Amino acid sequence: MILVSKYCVMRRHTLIEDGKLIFESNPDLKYSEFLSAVYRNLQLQYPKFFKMDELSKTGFLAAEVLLSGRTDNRNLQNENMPVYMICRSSSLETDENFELTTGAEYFPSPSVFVYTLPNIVLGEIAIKNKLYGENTCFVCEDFANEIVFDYICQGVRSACPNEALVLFIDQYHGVGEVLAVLISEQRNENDGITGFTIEHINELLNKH
Amino acid sequence: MEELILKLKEQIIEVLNLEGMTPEDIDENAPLFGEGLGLDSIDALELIVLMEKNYGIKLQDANQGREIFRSVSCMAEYISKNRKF
Repeated sequence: MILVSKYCVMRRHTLIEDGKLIFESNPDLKYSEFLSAVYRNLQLQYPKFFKMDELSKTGFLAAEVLLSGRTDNRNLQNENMPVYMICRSSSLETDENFELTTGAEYFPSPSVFVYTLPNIVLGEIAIKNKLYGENTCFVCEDFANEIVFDYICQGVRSACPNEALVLFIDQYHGVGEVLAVLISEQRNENDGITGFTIEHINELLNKH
Repeated sequence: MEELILKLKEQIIEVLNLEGMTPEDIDENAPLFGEGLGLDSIDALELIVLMEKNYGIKLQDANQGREIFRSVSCMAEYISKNRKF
């Protein structure tokens, strides 16, 4: 069975890891300011973060929480780990921002353009963590998509070791949220926090 | 020239989102790429746009970039000689 071994939720000015609140910001902060506050709280040293769009920052920070071994001293050495991402609004906000730079004066911004694809989030995570496994991005209106879950489960079973990082992510109109989960194939259900099923993922999404 | 160097530093910080940096943090003689500010190829494109948008300079030859973008001082010197506005 495929189980969730760790998870992180970032939404509504809070950052939660495995059910524990690890950071909460002033609710008056704009989402972009909240993301910078999380970066500082995690004491990350990765200046490229500030060049990312908000979708990438959202996914990057959630992945850092799970992969850095910050709280459990886990030494992650699975460079073949696949990374999957399911997003609702794709990179629509950055697409719109880029369009604004192509107006009457026509000075399109290269640094905005590079984020006009949602799967660059996966690239940012893979580069930072030196992950060379499969990475796949799905754009779905609803996170509860059976075909996507089946695909991911098949991917985990094919991976060696049987482990994957999955992001359920949305960012649009200056608001974002993400549920990131580390999943793995286990024989004993007590080895995980919960099952990697639509029902259990919805529970995690609604719980926080 | 000092005024132009300061203005350039401010513009570079803005267009490249160099969070937390001030003009004083940038050594005008330090390399922009590789070491120094550690900029990448996308940043180079953004600097080319900056020169065109703010000073009317269009780089025709990509090889020129190596010399022009060596440091902020080199950029300022090139801009002062070639600016259209």
